[in-house]
Amino acid sequence: MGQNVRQMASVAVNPAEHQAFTNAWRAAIPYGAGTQNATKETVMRAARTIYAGHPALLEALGL
Amino acid sequence: MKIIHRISLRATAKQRRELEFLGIQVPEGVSLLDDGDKFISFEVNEGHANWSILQELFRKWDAIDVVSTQFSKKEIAAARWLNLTPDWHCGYPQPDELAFGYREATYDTSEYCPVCGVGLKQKAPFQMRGEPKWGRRSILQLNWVYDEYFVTPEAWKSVFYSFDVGCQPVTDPMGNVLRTVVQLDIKETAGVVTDELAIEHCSTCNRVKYLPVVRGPFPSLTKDPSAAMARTKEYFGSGASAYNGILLNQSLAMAMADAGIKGASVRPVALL
Repeated sequence: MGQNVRQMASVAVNPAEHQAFTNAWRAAIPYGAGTQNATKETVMRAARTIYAGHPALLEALGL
Repeated sequence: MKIIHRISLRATAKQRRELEFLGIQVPEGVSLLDDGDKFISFEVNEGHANWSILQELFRKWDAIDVVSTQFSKKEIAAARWLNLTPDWHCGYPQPDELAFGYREATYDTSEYCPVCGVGLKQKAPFQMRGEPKWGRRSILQLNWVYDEYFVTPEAWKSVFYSFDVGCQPVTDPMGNVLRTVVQLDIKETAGVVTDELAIEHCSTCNRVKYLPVVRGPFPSLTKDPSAAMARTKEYFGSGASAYNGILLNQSLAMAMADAGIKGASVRPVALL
């Protein structure tokens, strides 16, 4: 985290997947204070859970 | 005061049954377009009759657990000092958000550590893509910048000006001053009692920051600030995020509430 987005590995997702992932992130870590207070550990755990069925995404994230 | 846990997981049928048996209303959940179980999120507070059993299950299941604290109006009204927390984030600081271009444009980075995020000092106005879409709100934070608040000029004039809180202009990436937003100029700093706070130590710059305090009130101050608004000397955050806590006194918090300022909330600072 804190990496330059242009230098990060990327995986193409379709619009439906993008929306589903966004909804899950919003539900797990609410906007506002939830975002401000999120720890690295929480973000990593959320990524492992949300992308559990998408190994390419987990691999790109190094998880 | 209630400690709230926002729990999220991909719940199997067995886990759903266990949760329901323990008195949790389990939402339908959403599909993440794979073969896995649906993703559910729900809130439970530590006053729940089965909290101790639930807590064990959440640990066992490696559930995502986002903790927050709800305060009563009485608890907030009794506080001398409060910590201002954002209800929303509006846009990203500019320019070149994909490469965090705002850092060099907005800050003196000579003491900045890119690993832990500590050490930025503002040197120039913040840049936003354009006028913020305020809706009914009149105070905002930008994504990534958790120790600055931006308000409408009307909110600044009607509330903050009379408490001697200054403001700074905000521009677009072309340098044009935006008309509907100003940055609150929070100059004074205040120390926090850190004895019981969890720390993250940076192995690159050797500095320390404190993990966000989400249970109970904001940590007490070593000394009350003289201004109505102040920032903590200490940094809070995790990973590459680091920010100072923003504090305001009870009179300013009441004036914000009386003026109907929406977009941020307050929580009490613990008394020494």
